[in-house]
Amino acid sequence: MQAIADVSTRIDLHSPIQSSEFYESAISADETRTDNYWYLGVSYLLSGREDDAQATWFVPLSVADSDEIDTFTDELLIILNQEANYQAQILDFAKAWLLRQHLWSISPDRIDNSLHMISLANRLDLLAEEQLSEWQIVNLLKTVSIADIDEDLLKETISIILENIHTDLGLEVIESCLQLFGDSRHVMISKVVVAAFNLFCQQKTGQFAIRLVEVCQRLSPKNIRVYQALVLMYSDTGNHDRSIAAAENYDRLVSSPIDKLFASYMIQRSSLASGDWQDGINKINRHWQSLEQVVREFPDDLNREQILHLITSSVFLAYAEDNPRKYRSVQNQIAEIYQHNIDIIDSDLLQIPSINDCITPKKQGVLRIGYLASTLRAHSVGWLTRWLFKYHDRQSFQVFNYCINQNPNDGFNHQWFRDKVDISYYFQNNPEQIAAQIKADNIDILIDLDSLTLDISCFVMAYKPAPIQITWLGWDASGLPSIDYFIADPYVLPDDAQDYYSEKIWRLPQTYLGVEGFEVGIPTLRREDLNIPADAVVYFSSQIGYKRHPDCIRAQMEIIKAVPNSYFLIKGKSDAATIQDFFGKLAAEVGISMDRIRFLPQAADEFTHRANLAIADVVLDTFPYNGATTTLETLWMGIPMVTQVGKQFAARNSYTFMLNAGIEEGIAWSQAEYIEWGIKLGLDRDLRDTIQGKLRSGRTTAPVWNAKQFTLDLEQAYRDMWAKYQAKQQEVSADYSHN
Amino acid sequence: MQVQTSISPIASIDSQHEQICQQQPNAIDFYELAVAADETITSNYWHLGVAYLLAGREDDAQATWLTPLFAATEIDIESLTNNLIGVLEQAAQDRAEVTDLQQAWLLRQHIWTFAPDRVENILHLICLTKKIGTLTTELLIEWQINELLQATTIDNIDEDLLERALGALITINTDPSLEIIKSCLKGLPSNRNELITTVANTLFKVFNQQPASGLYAVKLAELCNDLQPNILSILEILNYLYTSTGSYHKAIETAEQYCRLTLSSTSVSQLFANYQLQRTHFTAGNWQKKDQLINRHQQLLKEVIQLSPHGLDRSQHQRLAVISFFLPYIEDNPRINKSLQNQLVTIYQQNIPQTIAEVETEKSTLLKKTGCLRIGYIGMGLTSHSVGWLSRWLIHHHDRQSFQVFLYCLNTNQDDTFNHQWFRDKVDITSYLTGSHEDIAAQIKADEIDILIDVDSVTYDITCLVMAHKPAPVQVSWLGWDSSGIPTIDYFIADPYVLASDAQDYYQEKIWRLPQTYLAVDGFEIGTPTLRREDLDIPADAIVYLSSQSGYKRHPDCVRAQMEIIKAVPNSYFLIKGKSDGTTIQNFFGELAAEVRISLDRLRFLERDINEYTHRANLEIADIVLDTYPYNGATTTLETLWMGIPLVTQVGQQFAARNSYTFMLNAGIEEGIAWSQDEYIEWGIKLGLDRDLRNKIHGKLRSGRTTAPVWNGKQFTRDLEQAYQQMWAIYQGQQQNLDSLN
Repeated sequence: MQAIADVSTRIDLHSPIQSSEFYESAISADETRTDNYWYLGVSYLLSGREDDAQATWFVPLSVADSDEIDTFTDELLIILNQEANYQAQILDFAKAWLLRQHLWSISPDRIDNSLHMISLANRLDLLAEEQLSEWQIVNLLKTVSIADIDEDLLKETISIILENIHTDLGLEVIESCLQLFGDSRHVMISKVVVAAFNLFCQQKTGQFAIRLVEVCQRLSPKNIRVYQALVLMYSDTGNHDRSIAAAENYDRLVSSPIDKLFASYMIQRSSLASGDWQDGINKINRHWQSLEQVVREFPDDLNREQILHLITSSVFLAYAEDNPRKYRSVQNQIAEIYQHNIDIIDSDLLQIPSINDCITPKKQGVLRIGYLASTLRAHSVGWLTRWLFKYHDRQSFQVFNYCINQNPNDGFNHQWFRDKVDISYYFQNNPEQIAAQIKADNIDILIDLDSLTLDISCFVMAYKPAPIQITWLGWDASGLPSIDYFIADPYVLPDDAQDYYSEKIWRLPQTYLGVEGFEVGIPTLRREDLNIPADAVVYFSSQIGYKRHPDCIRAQMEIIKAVPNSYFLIKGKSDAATIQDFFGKLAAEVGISMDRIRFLPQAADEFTHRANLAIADVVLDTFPYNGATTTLETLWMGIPMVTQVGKQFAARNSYTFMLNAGIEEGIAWSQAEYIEWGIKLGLDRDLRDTIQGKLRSGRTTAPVWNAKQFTLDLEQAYRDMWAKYQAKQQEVSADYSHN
Repeated sequence: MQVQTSISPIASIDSQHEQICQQQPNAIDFYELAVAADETITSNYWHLGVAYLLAGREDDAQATWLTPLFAATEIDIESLTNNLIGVLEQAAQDRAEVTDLQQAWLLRQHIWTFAPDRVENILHLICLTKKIGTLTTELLIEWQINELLQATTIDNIDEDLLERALGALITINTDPSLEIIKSCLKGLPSNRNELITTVANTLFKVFNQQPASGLYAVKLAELCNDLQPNILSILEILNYLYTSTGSYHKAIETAEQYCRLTLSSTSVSQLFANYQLQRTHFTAGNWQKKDQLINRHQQLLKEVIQLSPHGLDRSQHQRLAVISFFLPYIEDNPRINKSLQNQLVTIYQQNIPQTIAEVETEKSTLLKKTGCLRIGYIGMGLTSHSVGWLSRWLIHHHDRQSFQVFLYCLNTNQDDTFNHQWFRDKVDITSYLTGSHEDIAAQIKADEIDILIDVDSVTYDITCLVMAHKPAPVQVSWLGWDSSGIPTIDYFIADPYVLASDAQDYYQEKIWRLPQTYLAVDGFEIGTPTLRREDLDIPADAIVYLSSQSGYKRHPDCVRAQMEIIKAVPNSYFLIKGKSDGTTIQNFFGELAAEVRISLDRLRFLERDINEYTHRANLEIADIVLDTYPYNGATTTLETLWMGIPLVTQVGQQFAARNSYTFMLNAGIEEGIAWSQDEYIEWGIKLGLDRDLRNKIHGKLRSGRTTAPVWNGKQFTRDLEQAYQQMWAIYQGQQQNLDSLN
C-alpha cells in the first residue's frame, strides 16, 4: 500500500453518512490509498459505527510491513487529532472526546492528547482521579519538555486539577506541570499560590491548599508570595512554628523598607497568634522604627502588592500598647501614603468588565446601603451583626451585601444575611471589581465591616465607590482619607478621641452594637472532670494568643495568688506548648503552683463553648486589647468579669458593653484596680450573686441586648449622614453657580 | 366482518388465558393466531388488545379493540363494549391481585375512557392511584365522581371496595374529597351505616399521623355525626378532635352528650364518659365543675371495682388503665387514689388475654452477648416531646459494652430527626411500631429483652396493654408519669425525695429508689429570646412572676394562692403562658383576680413560642416562677432551674406533687420549697420582695450547673445501670429458688 499525504480531495466529514459513502467509493476506486481508509474510519466513528471504524483502520495496518507501520499510524493519529480539534472548536465535546479516546487507545503516550482528554472530561463532567492514573499523566509529563507542549494546555490542566482533584495525585500532576515551565515558572507559581489561597479562604479544602503551596515552595523557594500565603495558612490551622519560620523566610528574601515592614508584620502575627510574647515587646519596638521610616520617606512608587500590604501593617501595635494618640497618628499617615499610591494607579472603575447591571430599581426616598465584609458567616462579626440585618427597615433602606472570600453556599450566611437583604454578591480577592460593582449599584452609604483586618476591603474603600463611607465594628478605624465616619458610642472612645481620628467619629446615643443574645448548647465540662472542688472559685480567660499581653497575665496571676482555693482556666486559639510554657513562667514569677491552672481544649462548636463558660465564677478580660465577642458572651451568660479600661478603642470595648449590659462592678481604670476587682469578686460571693442578678434582669431591659433599638439608632444615623451629604452637595453646587 | 357475540368461545379461551397472562409476548402470539384463525370471535380481539396494552403497546391495543367495534351495528355496540369492559375488569383485578398496580391502573384508565360513568371503576381508580401515590384532587374532579355518586345509588357496590376508596379519600385533605365522602355516605342504604363509624375511625388514625389536618378531620367527623347521630365512638372522636383543635365549647357539648347517652349504660362506660368530660374541661382550663367531676369519678370507680366485670370488650377494657388520669390533677391524695387505681388495673389485667397470640415476628439478628443485659425502652415520647428531651441523656451516656439497648417507638414518625439524633443513632436496634399491642409484645418477646422500661405509663393506653402482656421478665416504669399499678410491672423508679417515705404502702410496684435523683439531664439548648419587658409594657424594676403550664395543671386553689402573692408584692406582674383555651383561661384568671381584687393590668397572657429554644430563652423575663400544685411542672421545673430562675413549689404526698421538690434539692437549692399553701404564699412574697435572696438562689443554681446531681446525666446513668444489674440479679435469684423448689 501507498501512503499518501495529499488530502485535497477530502470531503466534508461532518455529514458522516455522505462522507462514508464518498470514501467507500474512493476505496473501491483505489484500494491502495491509505488516507481514504483513515477518513472512512473517522466517518464511521462519527456516525456511531465504532466497530466498523476500527475494522476499516485495521485494513491498511494489517498489511503494512514493519517500516510502514509507524508512518501509517502517524497518519491516522494526525487525522484523528485534527478532527478532534475541529469537533472541540464547534463545541461538540462528546465527539471530540470519542475521537481522543480512540487516539489514546492507538497511542496512549501522547501527553498533549491526554491533557486534551482532561479538558474534555472536565467539560463533560466525567473527570475523576482514576483517569489521571489510568492515563499515566504524571509519568508522561516527566518525559516531555515545554517545547513539545502547548503552554495554554498546561495552564488549563493546572486550573482544572486545582478546581476538581484535591488529592495526592492531583498535587503530583500540578507539580509535574509546573516543572515544565521555564522562564515563566515564577509567574505561574504565583498564580497557583493565589488560587490555592482563595481555595483556602473559602474553607473548602484547607489541607490540599496548604500542600499545594508547599509544592510551590519546593519549586520556587525564593518566591515571596509562597511564604506570604504559608504564614497565614499555617497560622490559621494551628501550625504556629511553621508559620513563624515562613515569615522569617519572607523577611530574608526582601530588602525594601516597605517589604521589610510587611515581613515584620507577619512575624508578629505568627508569633503573637501562637501566644509567644517572649520577644514580643522587642519585635514591636523594631516595628515602630520600620513604620516611622516609611512615614518619613513617604514612598510614592509602590507596586500593587506593596500597597496592599502597607495599610494593615500597623495592627499589632494596638495589642502591645494602649497609646492611641501615638498609634493613630502613625496609622493616619500610613493611610495617607496608601491612598496617595492608590490614586496614582488611577484605575477607571467604569472600565472594569464583568459587572452585573443592578436589576433592583432604586426606590424614591429609599437609601441604598451596602455592607462590605469578609465575615458575614459564623465568624465573630457575623454572630454580632446578624441582628442589624434582622431588624433593618426594608421599606426605607435597600440593603446590598458585598461578601469577600466567602463560600456562596454557606447556610449561616444564607439564613442571617443573604435571605434578609435585597442583593448579596460573593467576590474573591478583586478590589477593582468589587468597587466597580458598588459604583454600578449606586450605593448611597457603604459600611466597611473589616477595617484593617482585610487588605482587600481597605483597597475597595480607598477607591471611594460610594459617596458616604463608614467603618463599623470590625476593628478600630483604618484612617483612610476616603472614609467619612467611624461609628462609636459615648463610652467606647474617650471624649478627646476626635483629636487623633481622621474619620469623623459618629457617636450613637447608647451603644455602638446591640445583639439579641446568643444560642447556647449543652455544656461538656463539669468541675469534677477538671478535678476542681465545687466550692472553689474559678477564674476563666478565653482569648486568642495575640491578646495575651504579659503585663495583663501578670496581673491575672496576682489575683489567683491572692484568692485561696481559686483556679484559673485558660482557653483559646494558640499554640498549646507555647502558651503553657508562657503561663508557666509567669506563674513561677509570682510563685503560683501549676496545679491552680488548667488549659482547656477548644470546644466542638460555639454553642458548646458558650455553655461551658458557665463553669467560671469570674472572667478575666485582656488589656490593652479587650475581648469583644467573648465579653458579650460572658455578659449574656451572666458571669461577672473584670476589665481594665484604657484609651484606645480596643481597650474600651468591654467597658461599653458592661455599662450597656447594666453593670459597673468589675470595671477597673488601672492595673492596680484590675487586680483589686479580681480579688474582690473572687472573695465576695454575694457580690458575684448581685452582679449575676443585674445581668440576668438586664437581659430583657439593657441596651446592649436591644438589637431593635440599636438598629433604629443606626438607621437614624444613616439618614442624618445622608442629609448632611445632600446639604453639602447643594452648597457645592451653589458655590459653583456663584462663581 | 360478521361478529359473533356468543359467550361460549370466550370461556374456553379464558382458561388458557389464565396461564399465559403472566407473559405478554406469549399472549400476543397466542391471540394473534387465534384472531387469524377466526376473525369473527370478538373476545380474541379484547384479549389481544389487553396483551398489547400490558406489553406497553397502547396504540396497538386501541386499534385492536376498535376493529370489532367499528364493524358492529348500533345495536351490537353496547353489548360489545360491555364485553370488552368485562375483559378489562377481569384483567385489572388479576393485576391488582398480583399487586402490579401500575398495569391495573392502566387497564382501569382504559375502562374509564370506554365507560366514564362506571362508579365502581372510578372507586378502583381512587384506590389504585392512592397506592401508587398519584391521587390528587384534580383527578377526583376530572372523574366527576361526586356528580356520579349523587346521580346513582350505591346499593350494590362492593362493601370492601367502598371502604378502601373512602379510606383513600380521607387522606386527601381538600373540600372536593370531603364532598365526595359526603355523597358516598349519604347514598348508603340504612343497613350499611356501620361504614360511617369505620370512616370516623379511619379519619382519627389519619389525624393522629398528620395532626396538621385537624380542621379537615373535624369537618369529616361532624359529617359522620350528622349522618349517624348519637353513636358513642363517633362522638368520642369528635370530642377529641374539637379538644385538639381548640374548639373547647363544642368539645364540652359533645362530651356532655356522650355522658347523657351512657347514663343508663354500664359503669365502665359511664366512667369513660366522665373521664372524657374531665379531659375536655381541664384542657380548656375550665375548673368550675371539678368537685362534681371528681366525686362522680370516685363513685363510679368504686362501682366498677365492686362489680369487677369480666369479659369486657376490647374498646372498653383498653381504657381502664388510663381512665383515672385526671385524679392527681385535682387532689393530692395518693393513699385513696392509688389504691383505687391499683384495684382498677387488677380488673384490667384480668380482662387481658394472658397469652400473646402467635404472631410472626422476625427474631432479632443482633447476637446476645454473654454478660450483657438487653434493655428495651418502650414509649411514644422518644421525639422532641418532654420525655424525649429528658430521657435522651440516659441514652447518650448508656454503657453500650454492658447493655444492649433496644427502642420500641410507638406512634412515632420514622423520619423524625430528633429521634434519629438522640435515640436511634445511639442504640443497637430501634423498631417503629404501629401494629396492635399483641404484635408489639410479640416483637419484644422475640427480641429476648431482659428488662423492659416503660416511659409512658398511663399517658398511652397501648403501652399499658403491651406491659400487661409481660413480654419481658423484668418490667420497670420510669419517668413518663406516676406508675400505672399494672400487676405485671415489677418496679417503679424513684429517688429519696420524689415519693413520700411511706409510699410503698400504696404502690403495687416495688419502689426502687436511686441514690440521688430519679432523673438527670446534661442541660437544655437555648435560643435567643423574643420578649423584652418594654414590649409587654412592664417596667424594668418590676417583679415578674411567671407560670407556664397547660390548662389541666391550673387548679383554682393554686391559682388563688398565686393571686395572693401578686397582691402582696407591690409593682409585681404575673405572666401566664401555656396550652389552653385563650378566652377560658383569661376569664378563669380574671375571676380569681377579681376575688382577691387584683387589677387585670397586673396580668399578662403570653402567646406560645415558635419552638422550645425560644421558649426557654424567654423564661428569662421572669424573676420568679410559680409552680403548680397538686400537679407540679416537670420539664418546666427543670428548664426553670437550668435558666437559674428561683421557683416556688408546694410539696405534697403524690409523685406529681413532689417532682419540683426533688429537682430543686438535686439542683442545689432549698429556697422556695413550701410544705403548705401558706408557706407557698409566704415564699412567693419573700422572693418577690427580697432581691438579694433571688440573687443568692440564682448564684447557687448557676454554680450548681457544673456540680449538682440533677445536671449530671453521666452519674445518673451509672446509678440506673447499677439498678438494672441488681434487678436482674434479684430476678435470677428468684428463678433459681423456683427451680430448686421444682
